[in-house]
Amino acid sequence: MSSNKLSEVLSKLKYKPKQEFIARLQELLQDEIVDFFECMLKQLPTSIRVNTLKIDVNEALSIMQKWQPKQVFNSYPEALIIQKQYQPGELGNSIEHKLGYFYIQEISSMLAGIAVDAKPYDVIVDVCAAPGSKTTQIAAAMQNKGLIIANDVRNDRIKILLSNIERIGVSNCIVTKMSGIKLLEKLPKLEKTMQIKFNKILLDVPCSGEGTIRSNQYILQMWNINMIKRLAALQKKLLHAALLNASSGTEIVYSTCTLTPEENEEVIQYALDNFDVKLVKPKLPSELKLSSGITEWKNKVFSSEMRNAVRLWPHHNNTEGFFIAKLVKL
Amino acid sequence: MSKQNKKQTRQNQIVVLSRAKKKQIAEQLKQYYGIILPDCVLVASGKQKIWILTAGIKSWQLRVLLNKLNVQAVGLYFVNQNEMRLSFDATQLMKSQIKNYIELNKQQTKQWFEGLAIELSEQQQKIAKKHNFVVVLCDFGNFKEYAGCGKIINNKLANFVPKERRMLKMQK
Repeated sequence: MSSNKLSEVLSKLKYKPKQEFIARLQELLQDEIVDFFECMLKQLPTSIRVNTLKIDVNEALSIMQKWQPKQVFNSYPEALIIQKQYQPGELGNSIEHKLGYFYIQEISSMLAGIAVDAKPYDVIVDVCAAPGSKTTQIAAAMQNKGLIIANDVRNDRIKILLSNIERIGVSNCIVTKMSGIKLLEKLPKLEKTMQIKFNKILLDVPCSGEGTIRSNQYILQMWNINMIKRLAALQKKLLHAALLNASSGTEIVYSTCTLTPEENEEVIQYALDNFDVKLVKPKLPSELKLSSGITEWKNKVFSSEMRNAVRLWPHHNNTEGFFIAKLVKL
Repeated sequence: MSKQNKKQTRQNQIVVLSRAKKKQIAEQLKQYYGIILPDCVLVASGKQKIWILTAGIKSWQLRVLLNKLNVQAVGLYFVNQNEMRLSFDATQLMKSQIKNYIELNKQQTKQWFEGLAIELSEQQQKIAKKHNFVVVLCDFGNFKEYAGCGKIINNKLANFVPKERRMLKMQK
């Protein structure tokens, strides 16, 4: 693999990645690093999720023919790629969007919602819910039956969450504004008092966003190792609180839109080391090329169970990057 | 606490409706729109707004959550209590049951989504005048959809499409 080719690709990026970022990625990807950065230069396909609370997928396909939608997964027909070139704002300002027929959501982001495997009458906590892409996706899978507690800590983000919940027509959700850790700490008491069980928890945690460079190259400018360390500490605290307070049998989906092992495998390894948990493979569409979680990073060895975690590399499926791990508390 | 803050607090208060109040609203919804409420809890919050929660929990369980968590919103805005006006999204979610509606043509649909009051035909007026509020079925050319409620005021159908759902310029 020529370093000239890599330099050539890097020179085309709007923001020059820091050397440390490149070196770390090279360690993870080796020869594929050029493919990765070439992918960063390509326009991200627009994907939408049909809102089955308001419209049937086949009806939506027929109504939205003008955008040439294409279904991407057999097992998840709601996910569509828009093939036609469209004007900026055309989708968001369309009547179909105003009616809540679809949600503009990147394919990789849909995977976390799919991994939750929500069913009607589940009782689910979405700890870092705003802007609501996964909350609304989970509500659709639940057919508005069963409880979702959708939480976020920031007022401005909650406003967007509320607006999306309304547009999509979600009627089984309670929106809370508190620290995720405080919310999780209250779960045992709530379960006891309300005589219910929170059987699924989604932890789509704040992260450094390395996976979203295609849609926001400014991430390259912002990137620094201290930020990653700070976020990893917060992510561990959130997962710790979830595992400490969840009851036995509860499924916890941990996801990030970043690629750095400190925010992914290291956090999961922390959970494996400190709690009685099992890491299971999430059921994801078979059409995707998925990579397993890594088992070694910077002289640290992770459990072989980490192979059940999922890494989604942008250049493998023409998406953004994502990490998903599904834990079951024993 | 300032007057404005007190007002804000009052508006944000979430009150779980009693069984009697829920029954009263359910009867009115059936009478006005032909709708049968699903298994739900109703709460009042904001300016006369009734919200529906279809989470499969009981009123007492919701009260526990309201007590223990910093709850910002419960369920989906469903109906205005004062006027028994169904919300925009409620008309869509309950579409299989709605009996009281008028159908707008393409031109009227365009105006409806621009937030304008609509001139109705005699036939449309006849239907609309039977009710306080009437659900609106819009014609978008290749499909039709319910889109909120209207009310006859000065022989026009007053528009209640929420601002964020309006279109400045409709493509169709």
